[in-house]
Amino acid sequence: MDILVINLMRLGDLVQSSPVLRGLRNRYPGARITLAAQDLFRETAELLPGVDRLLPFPTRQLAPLLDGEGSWPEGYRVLARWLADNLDPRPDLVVNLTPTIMGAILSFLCGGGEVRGFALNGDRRFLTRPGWMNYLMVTSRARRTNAFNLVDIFAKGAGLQPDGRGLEVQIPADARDQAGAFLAGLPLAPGTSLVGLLPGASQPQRCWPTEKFAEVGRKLLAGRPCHFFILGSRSEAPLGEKLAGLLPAGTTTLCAGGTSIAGLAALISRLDLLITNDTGPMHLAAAVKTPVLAFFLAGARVRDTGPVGEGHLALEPRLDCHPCHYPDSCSLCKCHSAISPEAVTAWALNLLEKRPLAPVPEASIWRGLQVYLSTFDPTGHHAHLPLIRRALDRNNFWTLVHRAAWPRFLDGNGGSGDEPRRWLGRVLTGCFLPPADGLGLAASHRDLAELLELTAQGERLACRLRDLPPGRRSPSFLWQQAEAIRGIDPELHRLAVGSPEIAAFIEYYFLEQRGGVETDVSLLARQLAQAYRGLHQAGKSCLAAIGEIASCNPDIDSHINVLPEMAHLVQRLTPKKDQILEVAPCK
Amino acid sequence: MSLWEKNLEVLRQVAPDLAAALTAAVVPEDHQALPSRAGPPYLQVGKQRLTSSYDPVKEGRDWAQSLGEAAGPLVVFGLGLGYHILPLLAQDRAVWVVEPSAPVARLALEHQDLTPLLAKNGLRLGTDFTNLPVGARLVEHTPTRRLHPGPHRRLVRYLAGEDGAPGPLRILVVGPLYGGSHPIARYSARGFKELGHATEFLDFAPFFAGYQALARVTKDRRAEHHLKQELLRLLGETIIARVRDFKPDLVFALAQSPVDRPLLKALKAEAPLVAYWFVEDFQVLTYWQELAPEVDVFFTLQQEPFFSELKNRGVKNYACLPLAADLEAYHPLELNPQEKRRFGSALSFVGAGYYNRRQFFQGLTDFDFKVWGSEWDLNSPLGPCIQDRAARVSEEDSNKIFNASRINLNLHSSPFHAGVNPQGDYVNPRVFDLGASGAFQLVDRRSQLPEFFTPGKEVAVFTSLAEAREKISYYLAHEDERRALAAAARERVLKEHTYARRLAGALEVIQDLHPGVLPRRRQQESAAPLLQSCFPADHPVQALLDALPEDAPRDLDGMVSRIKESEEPLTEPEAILWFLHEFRQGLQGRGANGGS
Repeated sequence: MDILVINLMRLGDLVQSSPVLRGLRNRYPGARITLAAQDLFRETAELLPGVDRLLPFPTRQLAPLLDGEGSWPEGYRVLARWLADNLDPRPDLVVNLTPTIMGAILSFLCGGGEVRGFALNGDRRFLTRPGWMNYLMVTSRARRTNAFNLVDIFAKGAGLQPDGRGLEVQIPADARDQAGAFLAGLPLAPGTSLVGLLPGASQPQRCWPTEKFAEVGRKLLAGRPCHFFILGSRSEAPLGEKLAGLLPAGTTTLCAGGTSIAGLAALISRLDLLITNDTGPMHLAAAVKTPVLAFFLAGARVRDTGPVGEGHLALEPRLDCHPCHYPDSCSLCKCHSAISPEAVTAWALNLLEKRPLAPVPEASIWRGLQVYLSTFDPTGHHAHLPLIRRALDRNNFWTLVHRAAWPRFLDGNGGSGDEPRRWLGRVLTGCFLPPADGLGLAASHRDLAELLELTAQGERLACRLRDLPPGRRSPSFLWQQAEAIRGIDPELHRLAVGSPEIAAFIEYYFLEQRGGVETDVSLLARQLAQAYRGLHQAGKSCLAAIGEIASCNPDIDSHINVLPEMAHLVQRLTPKKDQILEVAPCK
Repeated sequence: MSLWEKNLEVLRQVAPDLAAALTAAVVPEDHQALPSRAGPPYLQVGKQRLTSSYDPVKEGRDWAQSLGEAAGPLVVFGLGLGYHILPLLAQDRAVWVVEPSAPVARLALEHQDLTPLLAKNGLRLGTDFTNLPVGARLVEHTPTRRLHPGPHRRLVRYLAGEDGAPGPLRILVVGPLYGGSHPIARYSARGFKELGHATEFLDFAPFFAGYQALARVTKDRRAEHHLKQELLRLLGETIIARVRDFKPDLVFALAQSPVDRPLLKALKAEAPLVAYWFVEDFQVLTYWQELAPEVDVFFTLQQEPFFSELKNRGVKNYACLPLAADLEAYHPLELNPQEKRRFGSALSFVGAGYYNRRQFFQGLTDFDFKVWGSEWDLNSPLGPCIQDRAARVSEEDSNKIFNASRINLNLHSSPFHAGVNPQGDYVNPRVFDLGASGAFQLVDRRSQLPEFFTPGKEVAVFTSLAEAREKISYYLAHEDERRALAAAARERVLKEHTYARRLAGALEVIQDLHPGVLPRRRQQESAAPLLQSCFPADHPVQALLDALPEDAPRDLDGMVSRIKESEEPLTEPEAILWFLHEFRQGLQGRGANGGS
């Protein structure tokens, strides 16, 4: 079997796709796995295990041909030749992890059999398969509702299940030797902590101020011997020099842009800690199991792209404007000052001294931020658990609901087993104080009830239309039925706007409707009925998830009990499939 | 025979267009030929002397001598009064002279016998470098170069073999929410496109209804003003967002577009060049005072005393840019009998009811006179002449009215005068619209008018009500003459007054004032021949190209537009082209996304 994985993204995204390669290898042990990655990131792609053939995409050659106006025909020849030389015969399975139109078109050009991910079909319609790729599309627009790390979404979008083993790269032996020799050559006293500092990022808004990096360095030096390796790309060298200038002489080694990716990975693997913004090398560090302390500022969000593995820390500001929707326009950058050097130093020391990373009570030092600990749940999905214990709020509650509901909805899981429920219970009691308010449950109940009613009605109407005998399909009657159905979607839109917690499910439903080309009334009605039923199931999954969470925590349970309607709707026990109330199904 | 007539006689034979241009040239008051100490006249333009006020003949001789005896063609930048050219002509050298200013050239031909130069077709005007020998030695008349550094630079580039025109540019035209400058913005966008530039028109007309609706939200005037300002601020943000996305080489904003000083400052940080075309009367609307200092090039309809006002405010980069005609909107039309009945009349006027028009037109109601447009008082003596209850007239209907009317009256608006503004300088869009329609125009006298249309030959002119009445009667009785003037005006428009031509001039001015800023991309050639040569005759891409309609653009973006719309199964060649298009879009938008 021939499998092609298309990943035309950058360093960090490539490293984040290593579980996909591992999962494919495990699922299809005899397959030849090809990875198509940009030639710009060839070095990174070469570090990924599980790849039988690396296919560098000729970005370097195409870019100058397409930057101008007249030379794109030569670009056509280059691309046509690349396809002919490298993709004959066509693969049996294409997994496109690149969520762009370009990636979808390439999947069309490369595909022979099945395509998973973001795809383009011969009817010129863009599709996302399986359902988890649609999930990615939905939550990329409504990021606050996303409950899963991108690494897990990649895996699920490839038709795999997360395995809880995190990221991995293979460092070549010569790179390791060179890193070892390099470090041995430095005049470092025994017991010196090797700390990486990465002050740069892809956007200035995502950079924690260099002065604060330096202050952390000085505070660490006050307590223990440290040597700082200042990392970054060649273009970030001035930033690195500035940081080095702010730290005591002899305590820094500048490494910006001076190494290969393999060399960088090897160096990072020897560090005791990497303090970094949300960057590609952050994922490299996670892949080589070096402890990470990362800042997620401006538009970056821990839950989306936090460092994957056990024991990493990610710091995020507690601001209403985070994550930022307009990073280019913001001149306030309040997120930069929300995270203090004192707080960072405290957690950095925890990591350096290998202290247990347990939740701590609220204190003024943490007021402006939240600290997340990366770990895995018993199902293998990554989780970022808050370490500053605060009252469970609506946002965190619904993150947990979504974590439980979406797998039920998309994977058909009947519900969590005992171990996941115990884990959930530990998280609720360990990471959170009891909720201070009703968690918006009253409003959520109302919205979920309305969702169930609307979708049931929609399914009924669609079934009626589908089952209409041919003799009764007069245009006026069809028009009446269509009008009745047409009234449902605007109500769903309204519900989505008013209820951010269930908006993602409704958006998923609309996204699934996209691309429908059926013109036969019966088939259209059947598709519609299925869609409404699916959304109905999504609503029920939500309720089941709420019930599951409630069963794990008496404080939440008590809130639900206050709402008899909610209690009636929520299944207390883990529901079996046949226990879920069905609307009269279409036969 | 005067020197002028002698020169003109020769010039008419070898360069009739140049002869016509110099005949029509109007010499401003600050261009003076004054007696020198030695006797022959010297030339003064404003405060600049173009020749010695002592002995201009000696000065010219010394200058020619300083060039030495080297053979080979010589191109001289600057004619002055010709004193430095005559010695060269006496040496029988191959000489061409490029004079950037028509009034200076006119004065030179009035005061100097330049027939040896003219007989060899050696005089060029403005930026007409036709047939100048590339590689020829260029020498300059220093005072002329001081006055016209931009045209001098262009000539340098031309003689060095560099094409003077900028390559295809990306231009963002920013229009107003409403008003007279809105069609000008549209026409400008069309003009830039005709010149081959990738142009976008940011049209804020859809927001006008919302802007008006704000007046109904509150009776509190201050609150209403605040709301309107907020809307304009939002529109300003829209401009910035579009600039960041489209990445134009030039932002070309029209009068009344939603830009203010802070926005222009922000725009200048985002776009390489920002130009503003102030198509208003600077004395009536004074908001130019805030905006002119903030843009890279400020274009005006008027010259002095506006130019002095701008200079006094420290504005350096300004230039006059007259209006023009859009041939798509205004053109000759065959009307059916119904349209002739509806739109036709002996005399018509299309436009808004400004004060001077409301007064003046009362003296014409005894003619078969139709008044079209808005803001007319139906209860006034003009009432019976006002059509469609003073509804606004669409562009399409305006063109029909122009074509249907035997005489089109064009009285420039004035809030201060009861009829003709005796100091009227710039010409309004209607002057060009009527010319483009091939319609006969009777227009009030404006000082700039002869630069664009010759009175009596291309347009008829009046200075008073009595004169207007006289000419109306005359031309109603002389249809042939009417048609001749209309045809001549149309020809003049086609040759000199299209938006494409006008804006090409504007771009040259921009280049002169900001050399090296506009990119000099190569003209995009159709890639189809190259593409076709890349593949064998039976390759699928050939079939793709063959299937394109004749008028479909054969550039990448054009082909991909069609590919996206097709309902046939997607083919590999189509997908490859689509991919390349998306790849290029990604290159142009790179840097927006970040993170890991």
